[in-house]
Amino acid sequence: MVFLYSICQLYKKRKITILTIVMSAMGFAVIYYAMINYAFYQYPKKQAEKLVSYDIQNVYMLAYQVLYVPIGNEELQHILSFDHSLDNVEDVMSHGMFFLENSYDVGENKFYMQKSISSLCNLYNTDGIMIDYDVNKSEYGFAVAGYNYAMEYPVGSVYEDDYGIKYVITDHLKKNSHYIPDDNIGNAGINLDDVIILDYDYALSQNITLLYNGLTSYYIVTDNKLAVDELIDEANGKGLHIYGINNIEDKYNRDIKDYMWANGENYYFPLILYIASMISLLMSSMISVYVNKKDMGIMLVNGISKRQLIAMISLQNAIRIAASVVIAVFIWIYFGSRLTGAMKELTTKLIPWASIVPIVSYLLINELSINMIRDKKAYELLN
Amino acid sequence: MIELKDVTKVYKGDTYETYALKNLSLNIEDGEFVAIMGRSGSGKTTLLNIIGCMDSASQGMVIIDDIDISNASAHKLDVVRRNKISFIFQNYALMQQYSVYENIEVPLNARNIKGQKKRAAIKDIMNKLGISELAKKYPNQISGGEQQRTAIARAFVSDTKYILADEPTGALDYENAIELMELIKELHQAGKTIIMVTHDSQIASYADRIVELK
Repeated sequence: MVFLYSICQLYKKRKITILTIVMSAMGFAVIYYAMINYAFYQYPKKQAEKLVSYDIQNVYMLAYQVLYVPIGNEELQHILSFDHSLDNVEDVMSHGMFFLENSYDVGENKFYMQKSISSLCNLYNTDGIMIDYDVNKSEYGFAVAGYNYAMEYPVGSVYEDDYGIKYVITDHLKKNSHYIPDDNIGNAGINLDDVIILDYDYALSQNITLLYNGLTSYYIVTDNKLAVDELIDEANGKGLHIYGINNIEDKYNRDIKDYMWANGENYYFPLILYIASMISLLMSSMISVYVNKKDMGIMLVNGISKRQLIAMISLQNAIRIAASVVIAVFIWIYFGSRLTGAMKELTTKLIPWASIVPIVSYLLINELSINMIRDKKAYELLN
Repeated sequence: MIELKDVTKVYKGDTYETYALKNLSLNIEDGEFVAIMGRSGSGKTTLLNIIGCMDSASQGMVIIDDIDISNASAHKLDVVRRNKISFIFQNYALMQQYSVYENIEVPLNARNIKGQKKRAAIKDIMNKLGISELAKKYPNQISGGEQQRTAIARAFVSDTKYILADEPTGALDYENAIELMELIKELHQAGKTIIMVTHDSQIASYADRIVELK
């Protein structure tokens, strides 16, 4: 009976139902947008800023051959021994390791990439990566060739890696494309002109176990130039390279400054949108309760209990929010893709959070809308 | 049987206290048709709300079929109301987006009466009240008299023992009002207990007993 009347009320007042669902959907879409902005742009940027805030002139990154190439077990031990040797070195203010979540092969000119990072590649001038290239994955993975490989590997050609796994080249990157690892301190970026990006998921599915997460290290030294030189000399002596992060920061800011959502000056903008969206969601639910108030009073005097009415409101809120979320995701995929070019990847990453937001919103909104009738007597609802 | 013993209803604000009912005692026997009269503000509707489990008394006892509802929880009041009481209102209280048929079936759905039994009960009451042809119409498509017949059908369809009517003819013209009272009288003769609030002495004359509130 509760289900019957819940559906019935939504249908009978379908204009207001559609209006509230659309309002809620827009609210969710904005919330998702704000979340993605924070998770994928603001947070990594803040992490980077945290590191460089000491003094960008004095922060140095250590890496193997190429800036930010992750390290395998053997190389890791090498770096760790160097890292430990700095424990008591004067002028080294702080040093430590940080974790690179995504894994790459260290082989020459190739690079395993999780699909999800393609969205960030896109942000840094690599739009056009065809993530959804329709290939039979039991035979081929997909690969995207860097700019300098465009002639050697045209779209549709097959690249075979050192393990004998074959990949179809689905697209080429624009010149000077960079990969910025998400969620990593430093965010220096790797120039992708001379790399072939291989489908990480596909490689994993072929039981390649040589992919690993990596550690790299950072050093913060005093402004003693001599100390810096000694550090560099010591690293070079061990076959390692040290890079100043100031160049990284310049590049980072240059790439990011025109992107409104990632601009640090707009930090409060997503928060304001989030609050506005929550108000929109709440209003849509309250409007619905308000327009059904008299009907609820009529139901109450005709034998339907207050508990059943509350269950009806809860169910209607759940239906409305579920429908809103579905629409919001479609809005997000359709319009969002025009903004960043790889929204499907972001949406995939968002799913765990995307499911929490409606649940939290539902609990809050449901409580507030139920409060509109909880203490009301039947005759008060009727009037 | 409905028993009210020293029932008082007081509305309190920060600076005022208004007595809607003061030390009212009243017994209503099963099968009686009682009209409650009184001037405006005498507490007629308040009394009906208390008997109908829509409001509770500030003091005193209200007993319906040996169930003391004076201090009952909201849920217990819901249960008593569902099992024993139906209402007819002056403004009909029909759901505008629901058809005549759908309005009449609400109390049956609330009591989980389904299928053939439900359809037969609705058909029967609609025939008795002469509104069979209106089943698919919506309240805004029928006249005031027809709307009140729909409300009466809804009150009687669930076979509750007590029917509470608050100015049931208040929005109707004289002819319709008399016609409707004849119908209510006829339904009362089938064994229902009817408690009706009215300010019209001619309408009240249909009752077995008139209680005047002062």
